[in-house]
Amino acid sequence: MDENQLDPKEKKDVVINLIRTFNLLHLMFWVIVTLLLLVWIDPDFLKDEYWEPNTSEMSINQDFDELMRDSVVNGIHVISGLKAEGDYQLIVSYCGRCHSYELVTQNRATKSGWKEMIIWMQETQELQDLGEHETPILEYLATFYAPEDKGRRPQLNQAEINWYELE
Amino acid sequence: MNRKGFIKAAGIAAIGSVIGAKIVFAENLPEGIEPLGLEDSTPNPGISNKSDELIVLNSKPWNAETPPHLLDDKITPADKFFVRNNGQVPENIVVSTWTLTIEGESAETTKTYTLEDLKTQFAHHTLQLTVECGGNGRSEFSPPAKGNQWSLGAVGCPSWTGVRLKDVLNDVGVKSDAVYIGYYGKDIHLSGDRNKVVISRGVPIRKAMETESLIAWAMNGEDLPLMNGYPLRLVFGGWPASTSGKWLHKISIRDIVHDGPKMGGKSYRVPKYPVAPGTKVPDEDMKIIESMPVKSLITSPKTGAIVSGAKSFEVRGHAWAGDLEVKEMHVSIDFGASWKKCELEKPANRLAWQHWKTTISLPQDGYFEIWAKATDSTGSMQPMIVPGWNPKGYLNNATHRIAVKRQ
Repeated sequence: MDENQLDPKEKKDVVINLIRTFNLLHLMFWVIVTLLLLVWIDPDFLKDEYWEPNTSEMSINQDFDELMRDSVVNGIHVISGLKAEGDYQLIVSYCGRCHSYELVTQNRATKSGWKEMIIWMQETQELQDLGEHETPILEYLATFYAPEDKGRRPQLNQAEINWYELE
Repeated sequence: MNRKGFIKAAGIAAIGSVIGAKIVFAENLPEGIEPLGLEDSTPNPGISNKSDELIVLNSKPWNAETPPHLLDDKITPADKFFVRNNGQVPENIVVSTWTLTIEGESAETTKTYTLEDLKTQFAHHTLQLTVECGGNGRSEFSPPAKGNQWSLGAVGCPSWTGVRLKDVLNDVGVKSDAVYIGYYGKDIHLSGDRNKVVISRGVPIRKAMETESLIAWAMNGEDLPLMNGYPLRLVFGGWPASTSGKWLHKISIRDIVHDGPKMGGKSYRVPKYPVAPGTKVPDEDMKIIESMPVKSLITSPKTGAIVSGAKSFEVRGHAWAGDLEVKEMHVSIDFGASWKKCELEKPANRLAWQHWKTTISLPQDGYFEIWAKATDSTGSMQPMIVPGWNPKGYLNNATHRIAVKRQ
């Protein structure tokens, strides 16, 4: 056997060491990638303050509520279900005090139709005067919750049918 | 906000939402102030003691309807009977001290009964009675009507146990000038104002005196569900369900048409004459809805069935017609071009719904709809398109349609 070549046992050791080194490098690669990702997602990660416990409970509650309250996903204000367009914040502020927001999102009406509902609520349900906010509120409702013409009878909604095999 | 705080905050927010917020009315609302209603807007966990397959329309007040395939039972189970609230459900109910007072200008006297009094002084009756919301089907109207956008499921026919309203009214004494009865319940106004009555409707004396008109404490042999009026309610089969007052504590015998909240204006009223869609109708031209129109449901199969080849399958459901009886039942698989007559049972008692069934085989591969049409004892049938438009979207009794395919 040639001296410069390795014998089987030495070959095996070299291979094992190579594999170990490779594995270590592989692991280090992923650790570095993960750290870079974390820093990219949240640069504050590197700061000491990030790891300090937040001792103010009020602050946690407010931060969380703010996060949830304003959260908009796919153009919908999550908590209320309202379309997050125009003056939707006014509807969020005024229209969830007595009843759930579905009473808004389920209905469709013209501006005068929505106005009639407001008057009815003021006359019988103790809704207060909306003052200068009434005009933008009506504008929002008439724009984003206007009637859709369904004709004399809507078709069956194909998208809502869950097809299944009848036994 | 850090990650360690997140889980803690979630816990705090969850507790906060359970405790909820008292409803407070500000004189003005400057922008930026957190609305109190938001604290109540947690994801809704469903309605306790009701099937979580009910379709919830609103959570405040609670309104939920039953998908037709869940109404397949001949007698509607309590957990599948729809929920309709105009206000908030009463709190702190003490059954031992609950009373029902009968009074009014056309009552000979005023009497107050405890539940025990009612149960011991009067004969008990158990009846299956069809209760349907006047606005069932509203979602199909165009232009749309304001209100709960019910589709098909604001209806049911449970078995009710109680005493005859007639027996109690006669015990009190009804003057000859009596016109109407009006009920009062303990539901709470959405504003939180305990002095405001949420809803107070009723029926003419002749309906009140029918043998099927009940003051009921049980549904299917158990206490009424809280959401459906526990511990006591009225049940008037075949009329809009808003006449069947819940959480009942007072009945007034009136010498005029009752005028409580949601009796007047356009509530539970339709125009006295037919109008074109979208017409503005003056209040004085509206009349109170009484007997509900003929209607039916396909409760099996559930919509969306795929049938293999020419295999025959059963199609079944229920039919009802307000104060009347259903005389015939038909189904069509060709959009009303032809109709097949179904087997139809008599009702278990007057004002119970009637069960029907037939067998269908689809003639070729493809998409079909099965339409169901009931005919009442006067010969009136269900329309195939949405019937007469009315400002509040009541009484849509158009034929129920399900989709099926043959492959």
